[in-house]
Amino acid sequence: MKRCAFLLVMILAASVAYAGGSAEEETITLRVGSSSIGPDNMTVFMDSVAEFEAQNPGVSVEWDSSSGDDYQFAGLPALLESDNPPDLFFEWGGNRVLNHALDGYAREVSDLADEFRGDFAVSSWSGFEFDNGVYGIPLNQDITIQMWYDAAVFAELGLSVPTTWAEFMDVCEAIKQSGRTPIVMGNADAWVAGNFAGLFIYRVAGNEKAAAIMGLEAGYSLDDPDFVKALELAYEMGEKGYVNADMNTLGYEESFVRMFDGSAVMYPLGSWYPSEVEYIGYDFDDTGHDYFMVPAVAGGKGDQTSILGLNTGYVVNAETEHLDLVYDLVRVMFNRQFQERHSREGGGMVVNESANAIDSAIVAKMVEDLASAGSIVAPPDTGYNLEMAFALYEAIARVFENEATPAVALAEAEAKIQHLRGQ
Amino acid sequence: MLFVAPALLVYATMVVFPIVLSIVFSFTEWQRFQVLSFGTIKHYQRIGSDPVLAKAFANNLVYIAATIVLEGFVGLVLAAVAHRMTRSMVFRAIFFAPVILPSIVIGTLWRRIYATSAGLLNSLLEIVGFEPVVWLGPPFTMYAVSVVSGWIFAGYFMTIFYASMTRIPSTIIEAARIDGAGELAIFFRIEIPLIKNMIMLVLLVIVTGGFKGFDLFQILLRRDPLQSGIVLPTYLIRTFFENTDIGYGSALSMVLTLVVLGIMGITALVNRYVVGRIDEY
Repeated sequence: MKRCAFLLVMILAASVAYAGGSAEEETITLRVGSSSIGPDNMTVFMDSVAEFEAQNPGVSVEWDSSSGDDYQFAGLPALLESDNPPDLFFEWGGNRVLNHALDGYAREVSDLADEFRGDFAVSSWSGFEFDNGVYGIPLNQDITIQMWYDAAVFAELGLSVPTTWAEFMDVCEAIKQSGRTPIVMGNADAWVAGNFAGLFIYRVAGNEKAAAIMGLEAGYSLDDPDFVKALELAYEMGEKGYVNADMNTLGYEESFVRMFDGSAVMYPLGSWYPSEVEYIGYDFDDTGHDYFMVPAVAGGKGDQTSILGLNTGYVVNAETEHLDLVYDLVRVMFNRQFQERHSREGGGMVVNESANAIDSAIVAKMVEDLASAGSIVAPPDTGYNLEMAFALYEAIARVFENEATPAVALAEAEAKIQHLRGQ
Repeated sequence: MLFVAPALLVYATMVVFPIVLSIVFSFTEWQRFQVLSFGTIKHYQRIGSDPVLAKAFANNLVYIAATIVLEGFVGLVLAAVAHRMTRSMVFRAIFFAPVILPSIVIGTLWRRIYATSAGLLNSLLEIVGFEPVVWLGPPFTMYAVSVVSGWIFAGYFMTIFYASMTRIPSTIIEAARIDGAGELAIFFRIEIPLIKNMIMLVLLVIVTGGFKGFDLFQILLRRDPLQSGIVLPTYLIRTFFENTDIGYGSALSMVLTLVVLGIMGITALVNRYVVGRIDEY
């Protein structure tokens, strides 16, 4: 009996001690969900988090990042449905953000957005601002398709940057004759080639028509003659061996090595290429890689100076229990000092245009290209219905592989999305 | 009744309730996660004309046929070999080892083996003067995944078959040898007939498992833009999570469940009326 009483007293004492201790050490943890971030950009984020934590004793930030495709299709949906969802999460501006708003995951943050409006470019809110408010704070402006190339190989082969489609094809042929793959794509996740050919589609069909077709407007279909004509460019590139034969099985992150082992010379990818190159362990400044914009398509009905691009940023979870703290975190993460560092150290463009590191040749060039673009058009998988986008991407993958002609591939893609018509 | 109540409650919550919910969802019209109306049959009507579903189903059948050979038959042969060894522990351990590896490790390893550039298989081909092959692309996609599946599970089924074979009295095998039966005759005429119920069970596991395989396809093929390796589970996951099409996804899962139940029923009938029962082994 005495032993039992002693045990009871000990348990009570331990409980009191634990309760007292836990009250003293109670901390709030904010969670941030993001896709993979290059080491330099990650350092900037971690520094901004450290500054926020210093300003808010007892509050810590847990950063949860996973690779882009895992995050996009599995990681983020799982996080949002989990018992411990992120308070703030990365998103690609456009339809994805709108869907989060419709599904009740994204908080309307017009009040917070107003604090940044004076500094951010007007175009930066595109993809985050909808009819009924703002559903995220943008951070980066991305050009989604630029043709990155190995300048040393161009010099070795006596090639100059192509300015017309015919010259572009000549460059591809010359590279192929040298025994290298002209264009490498890691398209196992479908969007790399999808974005690349997406640009042809806008250029050939015109922005309005392309948007109507991809927007599933009545009276249009994916196998429109202009879309067929656009994909004939992709078919030709596949037929002539200008793209890597394994493009549809090669992973995005696996493909970069081809630009460094000398086997491939060009890669159609976005403004985050320098960051990705650093992520896999190379110093971008030492690579000698540069980029040119995809040349005009002869006979295209669209704006031949259009740029495929989008804004990316962060969305506040509608269910967050720490709204004031999340707002404070955003204020620190997005302040001018850290925007400047993102541009300078991460090598990309930020939405606060005056914070862009224009003393970096690549950043300055991208800023200039973006400013001189006739129009900025949305990639199919962020600007439009995702099911439509992947049906189109699958058609594009088949066409590059010459597994089907453009007309057949697009007709079959249209058959896949028939149920979306009239919704 | 009181004793089984906790188990019944768990079963009802974890199994019956989700199935009922899926049935209800499959007759519901959705706009993303919002319910619009109940009582539609349009999701089931769409099933008949879905070209991706037809392809996924055909791919699943190829995968199941290939894994019956690569997992089941190879497992049976490995078990027979182990059964003839005096000490088979190391042999069995080697073939069983892949079962305990996580799918992500196996998938990553085999992506390296199948890689077009500098992959193990293509490096070997190049040594003997052949051009590299895109193993994970058509027409090899389904076979490439099936080989990996066989590499993992042949050892698992070997263990099951081996356990059955060790229960066959050695006197029967010895009597056959005395009568002049060779090893092949013993394998086909004694061992296989005596463990036929276990073989049927393994077949059932392979076939039903074949309709559930997801992880290997996802890791090896990623988004699989050519859809040369799309199978029912990957299509189902995309329908639910990528397209957020809850109604059609639920209808697909109902059909998938019915197909698997149908196969289980057929197997039970074949087992009962064709194979017959030998309970001892």
